[in-house]
Amino acid sequence: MKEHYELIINAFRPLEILEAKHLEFLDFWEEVEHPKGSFLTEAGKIERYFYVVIEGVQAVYILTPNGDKKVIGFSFDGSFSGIYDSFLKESGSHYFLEALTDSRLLRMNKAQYDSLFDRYPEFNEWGRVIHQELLIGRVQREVELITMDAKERFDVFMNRCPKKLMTVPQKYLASYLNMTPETFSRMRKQIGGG
Amino acid sequence: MSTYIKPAFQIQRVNELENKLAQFREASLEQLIQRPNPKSWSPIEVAKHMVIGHEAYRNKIDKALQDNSTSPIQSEFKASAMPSFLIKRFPPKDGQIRFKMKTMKTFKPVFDPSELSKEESDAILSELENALKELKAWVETYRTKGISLKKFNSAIGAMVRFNVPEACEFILCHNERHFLQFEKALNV
Repeated sequence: MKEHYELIINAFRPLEILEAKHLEFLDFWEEVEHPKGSFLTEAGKIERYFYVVIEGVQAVYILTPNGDKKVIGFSFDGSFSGIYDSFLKESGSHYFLEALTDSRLLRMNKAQYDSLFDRYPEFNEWGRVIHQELLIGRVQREVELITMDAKERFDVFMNRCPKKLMTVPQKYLASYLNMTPETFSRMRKQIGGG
Repeated sequence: MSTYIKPAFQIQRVNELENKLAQFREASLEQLIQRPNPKSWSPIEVAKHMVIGHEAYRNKIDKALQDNSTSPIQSEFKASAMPSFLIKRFPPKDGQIRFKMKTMKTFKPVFDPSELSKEESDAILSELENALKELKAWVETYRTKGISLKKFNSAIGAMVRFNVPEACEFILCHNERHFLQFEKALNV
């Protein structure tokens, strides 16, 4: 896993926990490939892995009672991925995690993840920060969905959206913003985004 | 209104049945072979009926999946009129089985449940577990590969014809009905 040293360091920044004594932590990671359209996790199955994305875009979505997809979020190059609540609770996932493009990821299992906190106290600090960020991010998104109209949600999203996400089918981005693909397409044309 | 078959939704529903089956496997032999009343099937007979129903489609679906004439990969498939009619009416609603139908003789389990051993009962549940795995594999194949959407006769003959997504949906809806029956029979 030495070839992915930089990726892992960046993913776990800004805590700089990967000092020389933690190099064995690199051996926990296993590289996997998922072709476009494949499921990393299926609704009803337990999430067994915690991921860092090397390359590709993945979507987390839930199905409505009619089987329609509602996108909850995305992961992409350099970000963490996985169905985190299912992974932590070791209970069935309510969500699908699907590779929207050909994807390469690093993953570790639950026992390895738990051992990080047992063996390296510094990871508790990382855990504290990452859970804060997750919570703040989810609240921010909830507020945006409740208080903003479609145009405002679109503008905010386009300002902070990584370029990589623009390569995925528009229907996934539209679903994430709780608007129809037609509305998303119209707004994108208005800003000259094709 | 048109009926659309969504493979991700099918996979989620198969997973739900697999999880239920894992719970059912904790039941005792006495629970599995007990008929709720003399005219009803025991849970293990219900399980065998699902296996028979599944097996009636194995060759048809395997053959259809080997067909080289493919259509584009789609995230949903519009069901044609007759399959749509069945698919809409088959799944249980609000915890109740609707549109009860008489089972054809070929789909009836032919054994006396009271004479079943624990091993024989386990074997039937394993058959059902494997059938669910196979159903999911069929869905995964048609979902990820552009497959032929040619129709073939259903297990009841040429009166109803399915393509692969429709057949998988029919089998799934049929299983959902009978899982509910299984659960109710188990809880008598």
